[in-house]
Amino acid sequence: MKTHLTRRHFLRSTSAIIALPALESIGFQAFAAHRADAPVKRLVCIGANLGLHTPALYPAKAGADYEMTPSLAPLKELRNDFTLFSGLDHRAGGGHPNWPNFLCGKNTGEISFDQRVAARIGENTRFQSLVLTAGANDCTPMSYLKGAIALPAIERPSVLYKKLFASVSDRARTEYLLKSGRSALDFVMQDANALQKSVSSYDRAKLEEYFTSLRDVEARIGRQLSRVNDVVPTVKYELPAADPVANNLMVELETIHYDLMALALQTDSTRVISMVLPSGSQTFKVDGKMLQYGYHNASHHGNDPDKIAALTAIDRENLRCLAAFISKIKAARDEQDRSLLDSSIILFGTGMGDASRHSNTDLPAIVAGGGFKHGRHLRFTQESVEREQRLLGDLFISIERRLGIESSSFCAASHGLDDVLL
Amino acid sequence: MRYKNFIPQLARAFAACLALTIPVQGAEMLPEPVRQMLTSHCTDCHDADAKKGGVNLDFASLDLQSPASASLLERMHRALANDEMPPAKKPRLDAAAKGAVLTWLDDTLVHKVPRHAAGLRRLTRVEYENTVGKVFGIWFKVSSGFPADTSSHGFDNIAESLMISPPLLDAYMESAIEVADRLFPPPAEPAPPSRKWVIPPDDLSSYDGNGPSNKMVDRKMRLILRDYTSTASRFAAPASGYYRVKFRASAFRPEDGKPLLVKLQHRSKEFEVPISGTVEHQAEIVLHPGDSFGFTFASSPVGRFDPNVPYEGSREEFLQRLTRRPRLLAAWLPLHEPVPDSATGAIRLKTFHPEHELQKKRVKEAYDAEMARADLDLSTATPEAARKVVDAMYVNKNPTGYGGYQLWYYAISLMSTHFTDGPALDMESIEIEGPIPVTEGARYAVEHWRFGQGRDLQRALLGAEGAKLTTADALDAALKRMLSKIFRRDVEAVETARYRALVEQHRKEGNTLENALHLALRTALVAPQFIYREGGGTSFTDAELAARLSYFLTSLPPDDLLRAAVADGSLRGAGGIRLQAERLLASPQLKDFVTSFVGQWLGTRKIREIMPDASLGAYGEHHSKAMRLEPELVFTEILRDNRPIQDFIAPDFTHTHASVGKQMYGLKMDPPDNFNFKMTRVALPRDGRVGGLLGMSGVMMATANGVDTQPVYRGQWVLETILNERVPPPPDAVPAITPDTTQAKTIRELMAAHTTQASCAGCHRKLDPPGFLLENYDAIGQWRETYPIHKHGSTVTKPGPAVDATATMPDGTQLKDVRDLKSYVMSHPERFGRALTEKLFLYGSGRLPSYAERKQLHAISDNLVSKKGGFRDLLLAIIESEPFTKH
Repeated sequence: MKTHLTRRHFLRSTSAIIALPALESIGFQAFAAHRADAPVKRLVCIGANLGLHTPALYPAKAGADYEMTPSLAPLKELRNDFTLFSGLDHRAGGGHPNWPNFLCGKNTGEISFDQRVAARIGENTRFQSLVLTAGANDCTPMSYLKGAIALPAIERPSVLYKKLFASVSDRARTEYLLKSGRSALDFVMQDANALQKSVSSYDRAKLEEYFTSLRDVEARIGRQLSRVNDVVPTVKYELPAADPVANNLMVELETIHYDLMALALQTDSTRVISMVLPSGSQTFKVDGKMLQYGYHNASHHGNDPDKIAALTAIDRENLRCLAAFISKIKAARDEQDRSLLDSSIILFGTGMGDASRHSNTDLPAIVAGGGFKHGRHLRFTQESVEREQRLLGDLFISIERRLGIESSSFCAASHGLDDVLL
Repeated sequence: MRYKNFIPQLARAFAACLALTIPVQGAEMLPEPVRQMLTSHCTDCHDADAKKGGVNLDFASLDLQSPASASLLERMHRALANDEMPPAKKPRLDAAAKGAVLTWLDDTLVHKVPRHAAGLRRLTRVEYENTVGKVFGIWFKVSSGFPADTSSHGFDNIAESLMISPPLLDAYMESAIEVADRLFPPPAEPAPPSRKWVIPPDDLSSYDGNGPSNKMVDRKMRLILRDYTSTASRFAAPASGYYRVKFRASAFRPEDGKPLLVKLQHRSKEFEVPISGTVEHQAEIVLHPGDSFGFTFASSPVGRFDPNVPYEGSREEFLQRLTRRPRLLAAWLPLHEPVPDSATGAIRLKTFHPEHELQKKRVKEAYDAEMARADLDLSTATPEAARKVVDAMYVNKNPTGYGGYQLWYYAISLMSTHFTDGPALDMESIEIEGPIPVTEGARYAVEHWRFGQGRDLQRALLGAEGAKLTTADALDAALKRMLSKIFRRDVEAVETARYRALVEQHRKEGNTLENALHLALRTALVAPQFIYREGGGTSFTDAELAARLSYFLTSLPPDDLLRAAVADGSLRGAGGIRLQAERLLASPQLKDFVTSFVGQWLGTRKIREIMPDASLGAYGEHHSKAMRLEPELVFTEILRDNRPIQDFIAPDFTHTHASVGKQMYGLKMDPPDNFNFKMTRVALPRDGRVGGLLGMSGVMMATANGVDTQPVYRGQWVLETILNERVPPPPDAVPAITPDTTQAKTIRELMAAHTTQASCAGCHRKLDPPGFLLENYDAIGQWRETYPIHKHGSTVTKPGPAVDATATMPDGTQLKDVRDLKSYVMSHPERFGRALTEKLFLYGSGRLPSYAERKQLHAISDNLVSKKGGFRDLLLAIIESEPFTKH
């Protein structure tokens, strides 16, 4: 039986409730040939809105024999699976307007890196991309479509879970609303058609936004309807009774989001996921002790050693969650029986260089997976003369290329980092 | 003829050419002199190949019907008129030729470029919420996943940036379902079986902005503050219904032998907790899916934890509290012997070294250490000693400096004593059970929000309950009523007929009448007639004008009187729009306009997002609120009293809160009252630094980033908002200057490159001076004479380099500081008038005025300014203007 079991069959079998460890252990070794040079297919971007306190993160030494630092400690076991970048940025103006530009490049609101990638590799999965947030994040979205359209992010794990793995009982009403929603769209399409006849050439272009949206949503509804009776991958995952969205539960929320992200990747529900770690009034309990300062407050440390200690502890918590996620992805197998990490790229970064001063130069970034040459601290300095000036966008270019996307530029960046990463 | 005053030869030749240009199929031929100037000066960089800056000037004719041509001509006019082009290193233009080209551009833009009807403009998120709320008579807020609007030109209601995108349409559809469900609720799902949750006290979560306001002590959750709820963070109701909450609580060291009060949130009932022993209470509450519940220590003597003004207003209260806490007082006394300051002779507290940032924390550590001592001598803690400490503290109070910190740390110490000294409320155990099975009557109460309210809402919208619309006539009437509410105008019979067909079709497919109406409602809420409030037609209709006026001044859809003025045609009649505008200006809803316009015009809306660096000085909720309110109140007063617009620059009054007035402005005001936030109107000298847009802390804070000042940003803000001048954005790949706060280099030295490099100097000789002139305001708008220095992990507030605020304006005027800048602006009031007029027009009409419209608006503004006319008159004149009413 093993030899004939394809993953698709597996997911289609209505009665199967797949516990993930089983998915991993049954694996797909029986049919999949191992190909180390197989293409990389998935991208996960995690952005810390308040950045990372770099003095506690950056090793003094660059290269392969860098020393571990307090913030990197949780990633120690994964040393050879990731690369730490320092000194890259987008050359953006300072101040508040440009914090959330981690994935956008120089200007917040440009199409974000994750969406650029999703447009190319996200088409054939149930969800072109997933956009999450690990807490309330009203003012600083991270993912944008073209035209500065900020994408709303899912905060509640219950909502995400329902979206990914909706139960049968929800479907009847969903189907009704989808079907009748389609009639509503057909109806207003006629209104818009009538309107188009009277509008100026300028408004015709503007109205095109409306048409495009109608068609896009209609197509989405069509896709959903065609799948409404599909067997949704059944996964065994116990969500907590309440979504941990209170401001003292950020780490729990992150953990669950990472679990669900892993499930979404393993079930091939999506290939592009981004998650923002928002900056607000979150409080943290570290080693059983409540930190005296909230996240935002600690980030404005003004060089107060106590606040820096709190901020570093929070960074370490966030990186601990990241490390657990990387380990989980590394242990899981993809459909070709490679480590899922080999066919996925995990990018953790920020648009904030130093939260205490709101500077957006020198943005730290961590990259895991994707078959890159890892195990190093790559330091880029603004003064470096031996090499052309590299930007964070150069890293994005190389990631896109690994994902099989032809890529020659990202904002002002046009080199890529293939020379050091491959 | 038109050009007779021009330098004879060239101009005459030019005019001759003009006369010869004959538009061919809407295309305007360029007159030869213009063409010549372009080829000899511009097309090296701006031809089809090089296309520098995206501009191609290599053409012989232009299609003036195309908006792109108009904007290109405007750009050319701006570049020439402001000497932005040709660039400094290229040969200059001959003055006469340039004048002639400008004249041609002006003439073409004013007389030949056609004016279009208003473009499509969709509702903003706020307008959408307000409109849905008003149309259906419900309280309506969109969900957190609703896409935010994009701002452009400083405002979030500009038509071209209000895009419709797939995620937005999705959100519209979801909101439409939510609203339709309120009117026609879907059948309730069967209630899940009742169960019980035990909530560990540890799960009660609370945050006050500086740290938790509760704390676990002896396995109980101890609550000390009044204004913060401790919520069961891991509980969420699985379904709507009654839940039974049981909790045990006790009082920790209550004051005055009075029992404590605890309030159970989600039920505004308070429960008594006796002075001794543990009490158990039980109550039933109604929760909806996802809801949690929590507890508040309702009778706590301590309210909001605003570190800056907790006890400041009530010295006597502070004194009493200190007297009541002999341990605290005894601990403080040895640390706070009042001594004369060696430098100034003023009395200050012994251990307090104001220059040292870390001192704040040491003070607290010292308190804590003293308090912990077993052999603390309590005999020193007399009422006299308490008075001495408080006196020294208040004598010592320096409104702009370290006095704030002193109070802060006294306050924090005093508050944290509530954890150890009481009074505090201890939550010992909590249980919740539900949803409890209830009788039919009680269930109706729970479900009233669904079915009962639904029927009420149906009657309000349709004029009858949906289920009763069984005849075609009744259905028609109901749909007509519904659509005219949703589309904000009277609807045509054909529109109603289409919706009736939709309803009938849906019924034919086997759905209930309610479901069919549910669908019609959802459809209307995603229809272009609802989503777009302007544009789409060949002319700008009266209904659109009414909507524009109404959303402008109230952020709401047109009310009945405005609709009536559309219906009887009086809106466009003589004085019609003025009458309506005056009526709306008197409505209480005007405050929404003030908040929205002022907050965006001055950027003060984002103050609440900025959490400034603590080392800058005292800053708390009262500061933040006062800084947001000040410009709004000043704006309102100037508008209400029709004061001259010069009062925005050099007024004789402002409105402020004592915390800001004393600390930031150095005004003599009564100390702020911690418990009642109050803005006070204060009279000011017109020539002082305080008052006016250039003297408001909030404005200065909004143009910085909470940590450092950025003179270029402020400069750009002044140019655009005050002096009506736009400068292009900086070129790509130029990183922002990060102020060097560790060394003794001033921002001015760092920015020297701006004026030494020719490529920067073009713009920066305009940008930098106003920025420098405002350098006396730090990042929270506090006055400073010197820069602070940060070194080795702490702020060394020892005077750093002096602030040099002098600057030379591009016209050569030398200015010393903000006072000079104010008088400079006052000597060019027409510039500010034009800037303000353009911003109001931009906000109101949702678009940039065209070149010709700008000229019309400038004429309105110039005329008013020259007569020293009032702001209210200006606003009304803009509303009556052709650009506002016709396009």
